[in-house]
Amino acid sequence: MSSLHAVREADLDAIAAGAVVLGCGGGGDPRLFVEMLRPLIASTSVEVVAPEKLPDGALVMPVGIVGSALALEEQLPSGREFSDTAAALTRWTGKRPTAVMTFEGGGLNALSGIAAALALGVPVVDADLLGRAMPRLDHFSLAAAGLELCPVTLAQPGGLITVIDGVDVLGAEVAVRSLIGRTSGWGALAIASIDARTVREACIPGTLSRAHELGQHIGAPGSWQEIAGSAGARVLGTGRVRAVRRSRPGADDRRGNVILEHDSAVMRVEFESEFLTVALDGEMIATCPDIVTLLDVRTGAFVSCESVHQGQDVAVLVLPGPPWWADEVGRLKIVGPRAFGIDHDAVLMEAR
Amino acid sequence: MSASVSALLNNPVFVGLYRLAGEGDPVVTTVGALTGESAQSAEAVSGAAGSGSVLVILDRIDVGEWRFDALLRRTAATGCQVVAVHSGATEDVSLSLLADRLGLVVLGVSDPWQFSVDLRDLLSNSRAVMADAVLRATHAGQRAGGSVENLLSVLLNTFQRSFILLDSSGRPLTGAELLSEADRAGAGTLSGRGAPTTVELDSGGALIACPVTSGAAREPWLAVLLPVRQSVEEASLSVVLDVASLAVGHRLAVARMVDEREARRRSALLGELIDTSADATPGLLRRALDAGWVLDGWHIGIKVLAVGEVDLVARRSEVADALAAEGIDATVVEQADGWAAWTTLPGEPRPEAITRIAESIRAGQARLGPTMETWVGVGRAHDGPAGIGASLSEAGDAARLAGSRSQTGRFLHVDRLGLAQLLLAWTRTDTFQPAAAALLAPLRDASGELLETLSTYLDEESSLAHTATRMSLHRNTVSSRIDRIQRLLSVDLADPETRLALHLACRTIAP
Repeated sequence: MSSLHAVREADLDAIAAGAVVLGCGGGGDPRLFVEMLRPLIASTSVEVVAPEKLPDGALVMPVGIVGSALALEEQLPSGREFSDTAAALTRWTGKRPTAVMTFEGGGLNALSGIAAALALGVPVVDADLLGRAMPRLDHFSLAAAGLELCPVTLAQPGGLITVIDGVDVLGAEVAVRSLIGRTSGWGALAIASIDARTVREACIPGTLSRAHELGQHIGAPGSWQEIAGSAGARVLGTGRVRAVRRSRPGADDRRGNVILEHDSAVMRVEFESEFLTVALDGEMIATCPDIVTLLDVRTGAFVSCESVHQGQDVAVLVLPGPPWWADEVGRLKIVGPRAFGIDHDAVLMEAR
Repeated sequence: MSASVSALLNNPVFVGLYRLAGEGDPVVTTVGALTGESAQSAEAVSGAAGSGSVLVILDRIDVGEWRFDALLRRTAATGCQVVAVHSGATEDVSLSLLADRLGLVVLGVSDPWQFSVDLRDLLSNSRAVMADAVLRATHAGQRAGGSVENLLSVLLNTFQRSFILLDSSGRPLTGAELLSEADRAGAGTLSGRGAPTTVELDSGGALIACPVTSGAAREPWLAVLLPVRQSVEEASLSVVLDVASLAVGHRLAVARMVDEREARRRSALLGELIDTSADATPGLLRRALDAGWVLDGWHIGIKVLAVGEVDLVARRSEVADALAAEGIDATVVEQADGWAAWTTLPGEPRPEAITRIAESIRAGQARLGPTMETWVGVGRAHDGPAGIGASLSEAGDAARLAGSRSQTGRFLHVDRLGLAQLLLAWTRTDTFQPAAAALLAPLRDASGELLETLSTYLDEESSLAHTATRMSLHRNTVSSRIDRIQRLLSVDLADPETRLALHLACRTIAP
């Protein structure tokens, strides 16, 4: 994997395209951010630092957008949210970050690190806390490594700034989620800065480069097979979507699923905010944290959990998930199928 | 024992059983049951399910969950083809797709635990199932009212199957509308069989039949209609039939006994009425009124002679129904050789009305035609209580005559011309003349005026004195001639039929 050293305007589209794949059908559409960033980055560039190149005294602040992508589209950012949340956290902790990174390298947050780096005038680290898109703070690699997130700050459109401290990962998740659920629906979140060693040991390296590289490959026009092949994806099956079940609002179970027929076999893709698992005739053949994604075979466009619909002809693809998650068995509990109520061991490409 | 899925779905024992997914019709022989949780283990599934078994999931399970998909896969891997789940489950595209893909049938059932127990009993050919069926049939027989129809409807409610009574030739007597044309043809093959039997119907179903013993000469059948053949239900229904046919036979026998008693009472009453019509006692009139007979008014007698062996008691209602169907409200009474019937009009009928009534009676006879041969005679209209006997007497004569008149459909109406003219008209036929000549030949050959004496004697109403006066002979001479005549002809002139025949013969030869 060739690593990225700097992000220029020309790189934005590729990163966004790759981020869609890493978004696993969720994570929000990064193209929304591209148009916001384009004028800001036009005359400059953002330095990208690989984790292993971070100086020892570095303090890296993970940032990103939390909440609903739909709410974000309705109430666009003012542009101040990342600087506001970073300033609030700096003021609360007394520590100024020397670099930033996104906590979620898939979906629209793939560009959050770049946006924050532009706002603060610091480099962005080529790493994140997920290596893909995941719905909750307790999925973060820091949590898997046994570290706390607090203090965290949340800046919301309209100017509300909140500091959350003194709670564990789950407490922070609950606090953030209840706040944005009752207010604007989204916010810019900054997490207590971490040192270089923590970045190297407890973060997923190279996510920004991966998005960029994926985006370069799939950016070229071609058939869906070419797109899938260039992305390094394994095609689990293709077929017509026969049914899509979504959870009812307010139901305990937030999962839904997509049923498609592949060569008369029945393929079932479970999703929550992202596509999670694939079962063929009742046998689990792929699970998170590997990257499950659906491609519309007619348009070659990736399909989100929200847009997939009955009658659509899709290919079900799986890409290797971040290897970091599989390095220790305990980490898979955080992002494996059981983290989403699917009582099954993780089935990963690398292990096969 | 084994049963196909379609047989289970058709078995009324399994209330609320339905097909949730899968299109096949596999045959099952055993039952296994697991809770949804234990069914998550492959070992448990392979222990409980296998080829030819039904796997029953005892507790509620979400069939839309991926875990159920996995369960179906594990189940299919054992060779098992049928899974039954709680009926809270609803049809679902992915479930149907997967069931078809794995060759499984998924059934919904309201009470999985009860279903697994009942199915086990059924498949193990348990005597408990039979005993239960027999008990329920016995209760149905006890509980139902006195009519066969009532019993059949109780049986229907008890076993959720249609029970049908057929005559000995397999013609449905009840529930004919339940059988298609082809089914009825199939039922016709019951004719001649004498023991419990099963008729396969073209529709794929079956008619299980058992003869009913009620004392009738030709035993009817009690049958139960199965829309789909299934050995398990057939086994229990055939024992149900054994019990139910006894209950039906009992009812038929009781009904028959009542009919016979009524028939005897009616015949006796009519006999008395005819004998004493001129001066009927108030007691007799009262009994006739109690029987619902109208004695006043103008009566038209109808005599229906049954040809061959006919159960006169059992088929009386057919005669009354045939007449009623033609608008004739007639009282019908069994007699030794057929039925006597009469219809009553308030005033003296006009000739056209009588003609119309006669035509209706003739149409009624035609209705009886397909099932029984009859000779029918109709008398003239006569007034008052005595009129019944008078008209019936004419009708009786006409009916006997009708037997020789195939050209009028064995039907004869004594209209205003009167019976005598009719008879005379008949005697002038070419067939009767030689017969009359042959009958009287001994008298013609013998000496003396025997032929003239006989003719005069019969004209004078068998009175020796009047005959002697008319022929200017001594009474003893006439008496001795009559004795000779009886010897020569080997007849007894006290017999009215003989007198009639000889009288007609005399008129034919010497008008």
